[in-house]
Amino acid sequence: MEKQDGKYLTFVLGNEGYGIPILQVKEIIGMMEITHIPKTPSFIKGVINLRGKIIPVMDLRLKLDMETQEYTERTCIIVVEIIVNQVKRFMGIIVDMVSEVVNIQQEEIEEALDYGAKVEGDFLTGMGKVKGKVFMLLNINKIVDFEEVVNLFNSELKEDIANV
Amino acid sequence: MLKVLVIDDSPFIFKAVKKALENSVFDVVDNAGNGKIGLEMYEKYAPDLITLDVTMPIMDGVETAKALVAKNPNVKIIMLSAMGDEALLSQAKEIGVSGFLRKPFKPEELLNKAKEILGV
Amino acid sequence: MSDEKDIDDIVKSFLEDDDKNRDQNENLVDEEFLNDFIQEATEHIENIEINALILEKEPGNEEVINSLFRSYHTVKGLAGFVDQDLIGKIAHQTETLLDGCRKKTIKANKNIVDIILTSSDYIKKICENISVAKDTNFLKEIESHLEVIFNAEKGIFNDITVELKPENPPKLGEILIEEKKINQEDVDKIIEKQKTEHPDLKFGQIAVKEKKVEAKDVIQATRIQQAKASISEDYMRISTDKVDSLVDMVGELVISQSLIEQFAISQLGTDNIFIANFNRMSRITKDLQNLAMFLRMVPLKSTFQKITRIARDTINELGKNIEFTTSGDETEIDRVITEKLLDPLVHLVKNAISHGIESAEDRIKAGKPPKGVIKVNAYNKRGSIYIEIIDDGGGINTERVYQKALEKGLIDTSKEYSDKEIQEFIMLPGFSTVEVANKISGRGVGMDVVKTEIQKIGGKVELNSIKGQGSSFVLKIPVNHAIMNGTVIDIEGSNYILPTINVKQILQPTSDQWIFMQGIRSMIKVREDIIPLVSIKKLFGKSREEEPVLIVIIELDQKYKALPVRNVVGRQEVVVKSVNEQFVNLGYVSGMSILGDGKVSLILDIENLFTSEGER
Repeated sequence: MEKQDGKYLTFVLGNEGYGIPILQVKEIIGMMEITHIPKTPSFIKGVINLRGKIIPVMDLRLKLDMETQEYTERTCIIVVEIIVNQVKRFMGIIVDMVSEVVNIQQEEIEEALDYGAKVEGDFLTGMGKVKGKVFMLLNINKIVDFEEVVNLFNSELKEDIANV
Repeated sequence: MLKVLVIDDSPFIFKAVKKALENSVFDVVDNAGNGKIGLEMYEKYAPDLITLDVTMPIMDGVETAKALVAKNPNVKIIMLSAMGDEALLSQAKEIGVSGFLRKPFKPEELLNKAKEILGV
Repeated sequence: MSDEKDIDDIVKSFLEDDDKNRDQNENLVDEEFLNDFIQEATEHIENIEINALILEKEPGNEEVINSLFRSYHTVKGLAGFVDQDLIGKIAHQTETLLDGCRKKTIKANKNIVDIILTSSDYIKKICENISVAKDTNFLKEIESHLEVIFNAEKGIFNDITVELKPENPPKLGEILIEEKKINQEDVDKIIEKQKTEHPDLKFGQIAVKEKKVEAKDVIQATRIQQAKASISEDYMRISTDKVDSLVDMVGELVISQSLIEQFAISQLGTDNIFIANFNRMSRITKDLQNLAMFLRMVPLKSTFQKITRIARDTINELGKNIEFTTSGDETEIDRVITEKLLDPLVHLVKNAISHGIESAEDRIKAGKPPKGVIKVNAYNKRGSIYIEIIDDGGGINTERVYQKALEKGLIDTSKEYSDKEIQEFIMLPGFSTVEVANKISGRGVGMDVVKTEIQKIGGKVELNSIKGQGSSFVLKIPVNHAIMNGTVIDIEGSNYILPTINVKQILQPTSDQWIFMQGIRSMIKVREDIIPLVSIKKLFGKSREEEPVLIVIIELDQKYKALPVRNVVGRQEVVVKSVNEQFVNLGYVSGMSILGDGKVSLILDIENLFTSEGER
């Protein structure tokens, strides 16, 4: 697993703390109206208009197989930037609450396996410890690259419908 | 026979002059492609008359005329000009060119001019 | 007396005869003179062409300008002798222009070089065929050319467009090959000659001297080479981000304007001076929008040149007998898309060459000419760009495809598949022809990747193949960032957009209009027609079907479908943005747009509504 140190944006989902590298965070916006896209997996909420750019938004809870929760005024969309096939892409991920930017040293990042983490191995780059708190550091590239998932979902759906 | 030297870079003109002056008192002896060679040939043939083109490479008509006149103030030169050469012609006149003939010319025009200049 | 008269008569007739003879002789002389003239003029033309090449590279070269001046001057002078007034005219005008260059009152730029070559071309044409000087069309051409020269003397030029591409500048010979002006063999010969006989001359000069190409082709190639190597002073380099922003902003402008217009009309009615002025502004905005979109469009020419080169190489490598042609390379397409089109096109072309066209023996057996034909055509239609790759080869072997699909477990044995459906299997993932992994298709780029790549740019791939006759692949690519008039509809609480041109009618159905099949509303009767209903359940993967409140009759290619909606919200200009890559395979959406309220709305794909997916 990659180990990275540096600054992380931390946020909360339920009782757990998570972090993503600040370099991949484009901006943080409050919840806004999301246009739903039919025939997509439930963790994909739809798309939003970010100053003229249309970007997809996913619910991170659902993506990480957690129960969904009603959105409150603390709920935010973190817009992340990833590179897929040498192309820049933007994604929005919905989180319960955004915390703060923390500095995590290399030494304080441990392999996820040690903690028997709930989150699927692929999605974690490690576990970081800061001021006594533990944050699950997410591999945003893996989480946010959902193209194949959509396609698979779609073809399964087609079969279902055809069989109806 | 009166000797005529053609100084012109066009073989066509050479032929035309020859055609115009054949069967007469004139004998066209040679053709020089530019003024420099023309001067050399002038020395060689000592022609009685020269037809001179205005635009030639290396040394143009006006330059050549100047040089010829310098060699022999009495040299007889007919300058063959084309439309648009007017500015040069007045220059040439001052230098001492004997006559001008506009291209295209009829053979008899050249013949008559040549006779006129040489007084034959 | 009668004797004298007789003698007079005899002398007279003798003289007359003599005149006749002289005339005849003169005619002979004239012809001889004409030939001499043509010969000399042709020599001058050759010099003009070579000098023009030098002038192109060295616009300040006085020696060359003088030489060109003299050439035209001489030709002019001679033309009069043989009654070639047209040649004289052309030569005179060009000579005057060159005189201006000599005197430095006119700058010897590329326009001048073009004029020089055009003049020499015309003179050449007349020399080759004297009678062409009497052709009225030809004369008209010359007239306009003389106009051009006249304007040039005053400093007025028509613009020359030079293509700008930031690549490593290729050699002149390569460009000439690409432009189909010369073949590789001749290029090699010229290079040899350069090494052995004319080390002091440039490639272009030798090429013209050896009569392998025309001077004007070398000039054109030189310009292409220059454009690739540097930035022409007449052009500006602009980052594509800036252009994109401009295009986006103009798009937003059009939308805002549309909303204001709707509001204004609702308040003031259409017959109002405000509306009249507003319409004027609308027209300007529309022009602005066209210009903005235009900024990003480039012709397919260079893409086609690249695939032509690759096609030729592939054909040679495989030793196949195939004629490869392209058409429509002037068709313009968004700059970004041309880059993304290249790989899919190359793959399709290579496929056609290696798998599409059969061997010569097979072709002859099938009664086809031994030479295979592959064509790539591009054209505009109904707001999309179509690129076809057509071959007259053996077509797709549906049996083999079916077998392979069976092996891969993709077949539902209970189902009957049409030929077309079987053919389309080749575009499924994992179906690439890597079994025939030769150097050509060994890149592992299968048909499925082609389909995905095209979908990523918002396009579609359609395949048509007839066994024994050939195949055609048609790429349909939308013109990006188009602005279209959309009808906003409400389907189960969410807004979607339909292209207004496809909306035929909106009606509120009465219960007696429905036709049920197996207990489900399947069709609707509208006057005389029976129109099938679109299943929202199937379209959007919902679990149940809602009762339709309104019906929108949509039309495509004279076919109709009824789309059930909750409401028709309105009509407005929408900026079409392409679908995000992740959603490209969904099928029902052809684009996305931002409505006036700032919300994203999906644009429904009309074609998709007419396929079996939407059917009940």
